[in-house]
Amino acid sequence: MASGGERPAVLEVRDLGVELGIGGKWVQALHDVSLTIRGGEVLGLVGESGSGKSLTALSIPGLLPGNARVVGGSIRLMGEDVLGLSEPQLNRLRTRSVAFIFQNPTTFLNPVLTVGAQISEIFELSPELLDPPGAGVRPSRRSRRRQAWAKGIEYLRVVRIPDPERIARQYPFELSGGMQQRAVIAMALARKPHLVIADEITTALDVTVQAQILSLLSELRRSIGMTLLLITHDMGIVAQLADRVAVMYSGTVVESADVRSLFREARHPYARALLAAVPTIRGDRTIFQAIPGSMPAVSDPPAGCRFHPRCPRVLPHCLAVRPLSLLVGPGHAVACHLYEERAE
Amino acid sequence: MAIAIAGRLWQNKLAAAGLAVFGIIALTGAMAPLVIPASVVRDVTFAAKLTPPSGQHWFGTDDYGRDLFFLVLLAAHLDLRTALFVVLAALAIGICLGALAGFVKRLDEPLMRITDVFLSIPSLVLAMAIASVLGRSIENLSIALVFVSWPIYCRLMRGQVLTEKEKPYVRALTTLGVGRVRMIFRHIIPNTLFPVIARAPADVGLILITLAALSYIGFGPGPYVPEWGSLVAAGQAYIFQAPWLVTFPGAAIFLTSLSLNLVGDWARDVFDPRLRS
Amino acid sequence: MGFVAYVLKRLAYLGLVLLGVSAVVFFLLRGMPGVDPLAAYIAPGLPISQDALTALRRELRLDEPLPVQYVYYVTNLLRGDWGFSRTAAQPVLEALLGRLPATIELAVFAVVLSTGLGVPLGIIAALRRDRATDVAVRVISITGISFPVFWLGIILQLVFFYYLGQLGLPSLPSRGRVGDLVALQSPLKAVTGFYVVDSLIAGNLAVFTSALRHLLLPAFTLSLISLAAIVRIMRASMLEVLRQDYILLARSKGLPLRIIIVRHALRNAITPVLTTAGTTLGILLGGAVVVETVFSWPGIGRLAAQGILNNDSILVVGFTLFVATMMVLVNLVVDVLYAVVDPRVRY
Repeated sequence: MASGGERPAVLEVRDLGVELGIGGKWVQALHDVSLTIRGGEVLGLVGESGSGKSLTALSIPGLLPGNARVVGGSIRLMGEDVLGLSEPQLNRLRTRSVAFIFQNPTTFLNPVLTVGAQISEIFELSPELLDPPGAGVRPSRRSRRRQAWAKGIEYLRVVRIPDPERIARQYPFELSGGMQQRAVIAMALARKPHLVIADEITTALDVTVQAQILSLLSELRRSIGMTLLLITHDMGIVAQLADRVAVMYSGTVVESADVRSLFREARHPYARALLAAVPTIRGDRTIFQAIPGSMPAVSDPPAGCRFHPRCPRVLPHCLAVRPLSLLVGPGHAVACHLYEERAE
Repeated sequence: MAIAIAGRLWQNKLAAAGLAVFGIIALTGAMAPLVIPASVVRDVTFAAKLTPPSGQHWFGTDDYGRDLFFLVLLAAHLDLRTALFVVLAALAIGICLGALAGFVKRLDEPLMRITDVFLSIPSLVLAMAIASVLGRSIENLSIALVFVSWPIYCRLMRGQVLTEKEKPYVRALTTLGVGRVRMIFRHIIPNTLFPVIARAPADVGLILITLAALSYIGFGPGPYVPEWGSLVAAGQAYIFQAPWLVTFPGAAIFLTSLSLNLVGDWARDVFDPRLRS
Repeated sequence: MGFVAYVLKRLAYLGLVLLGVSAVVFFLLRGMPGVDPLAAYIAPGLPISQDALTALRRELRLDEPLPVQYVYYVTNLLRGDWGFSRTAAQPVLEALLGRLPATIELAVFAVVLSTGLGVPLGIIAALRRDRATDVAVRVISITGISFPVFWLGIILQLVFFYYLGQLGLPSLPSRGRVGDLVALQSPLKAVTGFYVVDSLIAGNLAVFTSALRHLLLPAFTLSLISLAAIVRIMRASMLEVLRQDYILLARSKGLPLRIIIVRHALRNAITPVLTTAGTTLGILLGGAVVVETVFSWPGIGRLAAQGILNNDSILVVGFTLFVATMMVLVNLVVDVLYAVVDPRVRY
């Protein structure tokens, strides 16, 4: 984790614990989640549905649902502790530091406001994002609104929306899914945030559109050096875009490494199984390698290592004690009892 | 979580209380004509007129010297009986016509237009119009109110039937060979009745108030047939000298309606899960 | 283009509904089995000659088949001939239109009160999901529906006029639209018929304050009916909207709560309230009959009530048609507002 002091860490999550209130009780949904993202880096957060990826992401800008509470650990954004912040402070954070892109653009866009209104309101909220007025000029509210609208159109163009002036005047339901998602991405970029979080942003789109969005992200990464937390269950997307990968299972990070190391020599049995389950075009795998069993329910986790009921290499130790995350190589950490002797 | 569960229990306590109160009122109303002699209404005792509540006359006396407590009880009988009748009749008509509209395509459109027309006139106003043409009496008032109330039930029932018809289980049963008539009476109708009937308790309360209001305006029976609304109207002339005359009958209406609404709320929650927030 | 077409469609539909209402009303006047249509036109107790009766029959075309009568009836309606009211000693339409401003003034104030109070209360109730507020909202809404309006008005009169007056405290008036003394001392020139507006125009402060004071109790009584409903609906609707995904996105943009509520949530949440606005007006108009009677407010409601006491069916039936027309117009306005607020409706 602490491999050299190159670029400073934009996001540092340490031992985050989150509980969910379900059926009248508090159950542990996330435990000991640790992540680090450096400036300009893309971290892919992978896992099945229910593994806790979204919950982890939502904790960063303080957008956890009402029945969730943080019970331990720390989240530092640009060095500043996020968990202790008040709501107005969090709002400031959301305005300038963290931008979230959600999964289903159709439901995440307000149906009664035009696309242009929804993006220009960001600029109206933070006039400092606009081009500064000439010396001695006090911009009127009206000119500020016009500027905000124009700026919004600019960003729509950045995400490669054709004819942005016309689109800005339209309502979300008049746009296709791909265009809607681009608009949401534009809203994220508009704030020039330190960190962009993308939660399964292509899952709701069909494959061709997915490819377009991914290529857009790739280009943005190159052009503006975007720092991205990319959440997905698709290893293919990870391979395409990520610099580093963190694999989550049942509420904790089981392995994290740079993308090459993970794909070449994943250590954790779950991570290996995930990679093995991806069908390749190379033809030497014609049988789908599904992982037997399913992820345990949040309210009733198995004792010890949560993966042990499905693990092909389970040890007796695994049923009793939860493994801690240990370094097994430069920047490569695994939480598995198999590697405990080899830990540094 | 704890709040939601507590809320549900609390609601049930209220509903239970409402049921209890309504039960008491209904019981007293039912027994009133049997226990209270008719002379209470007929006899005029000027000497005792307009006396405030006392040990002898719990609710005081009116301008004819009659005991208000007994008058209110007797009125309970009339009001409750009428309101119940109106709702039952409207339910019966509405459900039948609504089911017809739902099942027979050709009748649907004309029936819906008719209900549209009826629903575009406020119920009080329409009831007024019908009752004024028919003549002023409680019976005519009831008829008017039935006319005013059936469209809503018809609409509801029709909507329910239409939704229910499209449900997968109906199609499954049809492929299994279940006959149409059997399908309608044994499967569809029972499932559709509940949300419609769930409205009934609250509607009795509503009809009660409308009835009293119309009676207050002037449709009520004369001074020799006790009715809550007309009691209030009669009392208004003496409102400053004898405020009890308007207070007690009005409070009776309020209490009955309140308890009915509490029960109705609970009934809607139980029978119409769609409305659960 | 969608907008105009939408409005025209609604207009056509509502026109048909009005036609239907006129049919119902006509049936009430002429077609009721067992009721002599002539009875409505004759003052009871007054002797009337056989010739006059025959002339009346001919004028009303009572010998023609019903459908023909209906056509004549509707033509008359459209021409403005709604019959003559014994009670008002005026043609029905004239009588109603003359007293309409009083009722509208009352209804408008009632709507303003109930929405002005109801919408914020509903929003607050949605934002605060704690036990105390929830219970309070339930209590308000159930009590509001259970209250007999006429009784509430009387009790309010009792408390605010009589008891306050007894105690020597400033009290609210209980009758009429404006104090008799005030009306005599500074007579008002009627421009719109709305005392509040006219007095402002004329700069007549005495009448203005008096008119406002007279409006308070009846408007409040009337508003209570719909207040409970509005709070309930607003709360439920707001809760539903706040759960939506686009609110999460708005929050993630760092928008302050105030903007989220007003700009994002309210526009979506207000539509059910608009829908009920149409039915609420109907209830208000019905309630107006009662409230105007209680407070001796000289509007169309009280006229109708007097007509009932007088057995003046023509007036009562004309009143019904009038009210239905007003409802239809309001529904049209609501539909238009709908299309303004929610763009999806226009397509």
